[in-house]
Amino acid sequence: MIAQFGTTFRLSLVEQKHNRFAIALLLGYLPAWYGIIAALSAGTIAFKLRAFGIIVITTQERLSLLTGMLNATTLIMGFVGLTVIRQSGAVDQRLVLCGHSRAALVLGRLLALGLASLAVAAYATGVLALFFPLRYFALVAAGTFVAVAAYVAIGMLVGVVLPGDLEGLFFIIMLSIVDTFMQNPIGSAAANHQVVEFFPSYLPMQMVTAGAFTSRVAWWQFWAGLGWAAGFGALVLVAFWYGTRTERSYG
Amino acid sequence: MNASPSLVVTDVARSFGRRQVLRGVSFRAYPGEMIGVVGENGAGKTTLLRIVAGLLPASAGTVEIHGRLGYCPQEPQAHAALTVAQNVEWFAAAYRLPDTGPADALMRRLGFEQYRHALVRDLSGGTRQKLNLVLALMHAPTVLLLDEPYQGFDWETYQGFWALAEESRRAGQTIVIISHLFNELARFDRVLRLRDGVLDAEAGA
Repeated sequence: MIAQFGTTFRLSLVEQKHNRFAIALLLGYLPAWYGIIAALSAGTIAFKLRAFGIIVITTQERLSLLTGMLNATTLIMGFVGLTVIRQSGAVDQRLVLCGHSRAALVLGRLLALGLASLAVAAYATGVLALFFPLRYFALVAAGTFVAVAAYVAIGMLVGVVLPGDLEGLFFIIMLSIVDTFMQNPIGSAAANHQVVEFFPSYLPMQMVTAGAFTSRVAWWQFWAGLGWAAGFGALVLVAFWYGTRTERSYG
Repeated sequence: MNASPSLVVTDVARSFGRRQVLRGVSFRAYPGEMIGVVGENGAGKTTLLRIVAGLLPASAGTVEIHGRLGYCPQEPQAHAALTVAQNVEWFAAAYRLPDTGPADALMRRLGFEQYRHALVRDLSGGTRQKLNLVLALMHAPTVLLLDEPYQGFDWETYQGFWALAEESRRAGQTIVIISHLFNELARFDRVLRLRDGVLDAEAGA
């Protein structure tokens, strides 16, 4: 099983290296999106950072860049998670028929996508830092990572549970928009409502905002956010287990 | 047949909703036997093979397989964003093979070893089908299930496929092939004709 896990992990990473569409989005769309936000946002905003109970005053441009980064990266990586399951589902089931361990298959895939999420978070934060100085780069990158990791797992889960690609794409787009838009005090009256605390990117959003603008650090947010991602990952494991069930294995 | 069967299918039935696709299908297949499964579109051929392979549960009945099973689905199934060699490596890990030597030999035999470093998504339909076949054969199965395995093959590869199938039969492999082509029927030791989910008498047991 360890050898199969290693093979799955390595080849899943290679698969991601060949994911031209996701790479093009990250290299082209993300900087362009930052540029559009920076060009079109103006003015200052004061808002309450809920997790610390403090008022933060910053420019709308910077806050929009932060929420824009989370929105774009969660969308892109949610699609990546969805694509992995939709395009590989039948082959993965065939591998299981051939004797591949299901646990090794899904854990190897999750770990590879976790590593890809780490790279995407570091890259997205790095490009963001070109637009304005971040107070704690590592904190912003860590917050982005847990948000992205949660959406990768959500994308995979959606890929197993929903019947078609279109339904999956629609679900991820709507979830990411509702999740990140509702928390943004620019334009959302619900940003201070308690309900946003239950959104998948709530803790990462608090974390990246604190890391970008304040001297407040709360690593528990990282671990709790990672817990969200791990929880979705566990659901993926269960759904994948069900989706790749076979009557027998002939390896 | 005096040898014990390598595949025993007993009273297999399968319904999708109210539509009954298979109704009590039974047959046995023996080592060194090549069986053709024929029938109209929608007769239940692919459903039968998927149940025997273990991809679909039967609504009723049992399937016994004695030995290793190889299954080649109708549509090529391989990771499109990986190369031929990487797919072979992944399946070798699944079969717990020590190396990819047998798959390499099959690739040479089917004449596509020059594509081993090409991405599957860049291959032609016929070459994907060759890879599909290699992934089913590389662990030298005792019972081989092939669902129209030669779609997209050129004439030379088609002939090569049948030569390979003949060799495998002579080596004692049990081969079950879904076929649509009447000119192939003479190649089979036995033909199972499915009609409305039931086997015709020609099948034998």
